[in-house]
Amino acid sequence: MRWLRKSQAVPLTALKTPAELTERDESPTVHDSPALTEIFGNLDTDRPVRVLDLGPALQTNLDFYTKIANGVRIVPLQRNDGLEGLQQLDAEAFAARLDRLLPIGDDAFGLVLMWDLLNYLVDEQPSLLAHHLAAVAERGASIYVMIFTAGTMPREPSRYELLAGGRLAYRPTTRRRTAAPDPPPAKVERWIKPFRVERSFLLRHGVREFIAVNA
Amino acid sequence: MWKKDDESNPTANTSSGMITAPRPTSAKPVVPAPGEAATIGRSITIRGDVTGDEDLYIQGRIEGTINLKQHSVTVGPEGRVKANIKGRMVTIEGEVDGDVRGQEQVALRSASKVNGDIVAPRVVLEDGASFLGSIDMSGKAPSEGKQESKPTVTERPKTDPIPPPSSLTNKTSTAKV
Repeated sequence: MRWLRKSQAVPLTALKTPAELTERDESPTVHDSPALTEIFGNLDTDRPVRVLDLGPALQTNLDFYTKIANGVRIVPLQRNDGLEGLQQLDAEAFAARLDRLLPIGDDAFGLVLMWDLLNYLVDEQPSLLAHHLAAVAERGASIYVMIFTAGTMPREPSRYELLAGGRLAYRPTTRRRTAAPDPPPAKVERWIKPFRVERSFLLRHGVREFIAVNA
Repeated sequence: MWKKDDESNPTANTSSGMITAPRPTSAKPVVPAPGEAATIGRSITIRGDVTGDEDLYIQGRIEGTINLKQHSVTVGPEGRVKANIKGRMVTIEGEVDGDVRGQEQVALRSASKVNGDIVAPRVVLEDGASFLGSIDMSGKAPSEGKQESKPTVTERPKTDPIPPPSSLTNKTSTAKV
């Protein structure tokens, strides 16, 4: 993978290899992530960015971010009331939560990892989130988005652990599953405006990864 | 730049001033020796503001605030804290309901339960720690007088913003992998 081969690539020595995942890791599914490989492979470690992670906090990921970033924020939007509580927020309440958790005006982020959150938001929430993220991100900042396009998906956002070799461990937080939303790419592009989709990768297991840039 | 030397010292700092996070080193409870820290025993409950000029080890209950910015605060396995905590090094082994700010580090040990936001340049999350909240590793000590819900402002290097990766510009492309 390029993010390991490039001499200026970010150091991944703290990352686990798939074989090092423990029993505690609840049999995660491991897949290549060409989008993250590309994102991290193109980061310039001489210009560390601020990273925003909208998933749950994981030590391995924290270790990784500290080597590529000059600031990290981990902000799971569902927090205490869970996914159901998040989905029940109307537009005004959802926007208020974004304002509280991600105040506009603080230093801007250069990389945003949304993971699979977009699959679980409802109504106007995807667009509200994208516009808010664009306001707290640098111009040209990259955002990483995963969309389930086939079969079923876990009923709640999963945990994703960055592994060595450009791979990702997917850890569902529930065994319950629901139909994958499978939105057409054009709909995803509308959801995440004003970010502009630059690349997408359809993976064999039905996940489509998007790299978009804050235009 | 990434150098081979960095591999053997994953916590080494770099010229770019990046923050580092050590791997969890031990799951053993951090019990101070007698006289090393003030101890709030199992049967003690405190409601109010706790301040001081020495390290603190909590096995009892505290509701209010804990502010020992220059010293270590450890919430022991039986400690139950419903308060915002400020300390130099904050280690949680018990339960905390409140925001935690560490000027150097915040560590959540394996059996800990934390419901609140963490602000510290280094954060250690051991396997098994239960955590609900956000983490801000801004690389700068928390500033005073800010609202609790606001993250600290990071002092950014005086460089131009990172440009978009060159391979990501100008066109949209799709690849099947």
